[in-house]
Amino acid sequence: MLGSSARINYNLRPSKHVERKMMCEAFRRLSEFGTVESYRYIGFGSFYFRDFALIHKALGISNMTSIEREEDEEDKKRFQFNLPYSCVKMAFGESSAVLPTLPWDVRTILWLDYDFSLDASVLGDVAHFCANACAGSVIVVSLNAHPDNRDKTPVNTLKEKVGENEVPVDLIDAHLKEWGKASAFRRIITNKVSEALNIRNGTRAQGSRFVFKQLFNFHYRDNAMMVTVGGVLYEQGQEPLVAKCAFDHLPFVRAGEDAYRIEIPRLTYKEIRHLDEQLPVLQSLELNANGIPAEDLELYSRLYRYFPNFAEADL
Amino acid sequence: MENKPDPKVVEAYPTKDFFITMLVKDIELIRAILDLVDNSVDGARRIRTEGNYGGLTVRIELSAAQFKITDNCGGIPVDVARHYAFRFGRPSTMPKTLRSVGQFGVGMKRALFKLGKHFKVESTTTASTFVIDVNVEDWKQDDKWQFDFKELKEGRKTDLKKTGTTVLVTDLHDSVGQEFALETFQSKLKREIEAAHQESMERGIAISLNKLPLQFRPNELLNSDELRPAFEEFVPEIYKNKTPVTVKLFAGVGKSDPIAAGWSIYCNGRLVLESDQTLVTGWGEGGGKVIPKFHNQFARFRGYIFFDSDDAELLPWNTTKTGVDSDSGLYKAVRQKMVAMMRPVIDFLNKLDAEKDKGGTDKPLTDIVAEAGAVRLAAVHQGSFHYAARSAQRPTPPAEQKISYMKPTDRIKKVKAAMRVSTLKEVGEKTFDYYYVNECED
Repeated sequence: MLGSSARINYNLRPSKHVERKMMCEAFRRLSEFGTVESYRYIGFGSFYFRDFALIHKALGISNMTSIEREEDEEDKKRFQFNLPYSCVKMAFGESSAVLPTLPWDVRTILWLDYDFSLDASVLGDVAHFCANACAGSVIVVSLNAHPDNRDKTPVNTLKEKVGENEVPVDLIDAHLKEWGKASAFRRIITNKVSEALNIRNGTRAQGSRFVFKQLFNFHYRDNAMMVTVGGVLYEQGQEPLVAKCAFDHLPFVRAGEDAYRIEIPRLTYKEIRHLDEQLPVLQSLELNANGIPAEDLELYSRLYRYFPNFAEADL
Repeated sequence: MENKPDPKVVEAYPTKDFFITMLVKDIELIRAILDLVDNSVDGARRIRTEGNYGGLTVRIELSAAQFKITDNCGGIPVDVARHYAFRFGRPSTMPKTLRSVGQFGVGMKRALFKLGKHFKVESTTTASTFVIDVNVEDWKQDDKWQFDFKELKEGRKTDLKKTGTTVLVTDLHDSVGQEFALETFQSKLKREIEAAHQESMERGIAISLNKLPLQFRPNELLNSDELRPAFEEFVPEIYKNKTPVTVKLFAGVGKSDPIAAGWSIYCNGRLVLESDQTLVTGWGEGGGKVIPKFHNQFARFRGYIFFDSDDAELLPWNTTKTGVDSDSGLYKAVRQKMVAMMRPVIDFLNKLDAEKDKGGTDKPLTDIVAEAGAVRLAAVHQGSFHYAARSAQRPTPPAEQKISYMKPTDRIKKVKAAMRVSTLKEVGEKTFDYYYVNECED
């Protein structure tokens, strides 16, 4: 057993880090719709603005808004103080209150990285995006999907949280165990997307109707089990454009129920350097393992490009 | 040979196009499907007059491509099909189904036109089988107001168990197919059928949606010795010597749920108005002075009204079964009773709310609500709304209490010195004891 000091500090949420980098790689491919730097990014930056920093640095996006529900004036100052770049604007209030105040005629990447579980307000935000966002825009929703094992009637609990009509008719309590809860969340969210687009398309001609293509369906856990669902909105006529983006060539892109599970191999810094020197390889079997378990080799060879460059300090 | 038009005749018959457009405009998609379920339920009522529908099924299957509803509820007799079932509006000569839920003679046709452009109705009774297959666009071009049997077999015996009706609609309207493809639509439909057909499901009819059995959801009210719902049953006087209309009214307290709160109205067991919170059912009566407008503090209010009659025409529903006919004399009279019945419940809920805001631990009304169990309406006895808060227990005063006061520092110093103590606490305690020993002790 390795001493914990030799390993990566899991408080730094490595899975989240990997997810962020993977999504960033997918966002780069949006350039078929228009230059990526002309996109707007909306997120929940918290005090750390990690997603903002990455997206500004990697994609050059400078139209950025961070939504924060904090109402306390002193805390608001703290957010302003922590802004990483001058191009990031703060918008204070619940996302459900802020989103309708923003213009939606600019191509947007909206990452709703909630620090809670699925509820009616989340679906309201999703519906607002689908009803208003312009073609080429991306929505991503991250939620805590950790099952509550003490809850004996999870389907009823879910109905109370999101509204009965949102819960698929065939969902039973047993489906909400383990990663099942994350899968149910994805289904409910994509149902909401379909419903909202159906309404929006009601007055649009064939060819210019909006379509949603799911790109992300991540399952991961840093502590709690989390799910991230996301995709791009476009008009039927833009199908060839979407094909050119070649999202499906990205190994982590998932268009359906099947989730991409982000699992972080347990490696030491020395092992990471040892493997990096050999990568890329076609098959992880080709790697000189030096005692590293096969499944960790496999995981690392899939993730290494997105792996956090952790030092002991998180600067 | 062509008939010359009579110059004295002014044409007034409807065009089919106009007729269909008007007909389907008034109904929501889900309501149209509920109408088709109503037809099956009426079938059950015809063959099971004793009211036990065990073994009867209604299966609904829908997708982006088609809609199908199949029942084993007795089928439509050829004669009824020939003369009544497919006519627009019901001739008064038509034999009546007792306690029917479809009585206007538009439900099935309206639903079929609402859903799509091609429909096929196949029905088998113990004595006959027929198939009607209609392409709506072709039918519109034809001047004749009739459908033709595609198949017809009369005078042969079929076992009652094998009877029933299947309605299949294909070539769905675009918007309908798109809705059917949504899982959220299916959830909505499931919930609405469950609410609308509670009574029939309680009597044993099994309804499924895309092979998934629907659930029976009983109406419940909190009931205990200390918290009793109101229940009144009566036959209004004018109906006493004719076909009677029975009215049952329930009002009381349920689970706190601002969406489920309000009045629900049933006609012949079919829900027509769900959890209403508007003036239609008395909320805001008298400009809010008699009955307040609905507000979330009444989230526990539940009222149920059941109108029942062998003659469905006497009941105060509208043709889409989405509400009551507020102009009906019967409904107006019942509404008066509803207003009277909800007042004490509202007073109770106001007090309950005030108790919550008050703070403290003594909450007798909250306690009786928490301790009352939910019962089905059938278990509620006739009587008015009643609650009995247990006499509030006086809180026993604590055995010890704290005193604190301010005095000038120089004087405290002198007292400290005189008592030979060092802390303020001791100063306080000793001065108190000194007074007590000298002035209070016997």
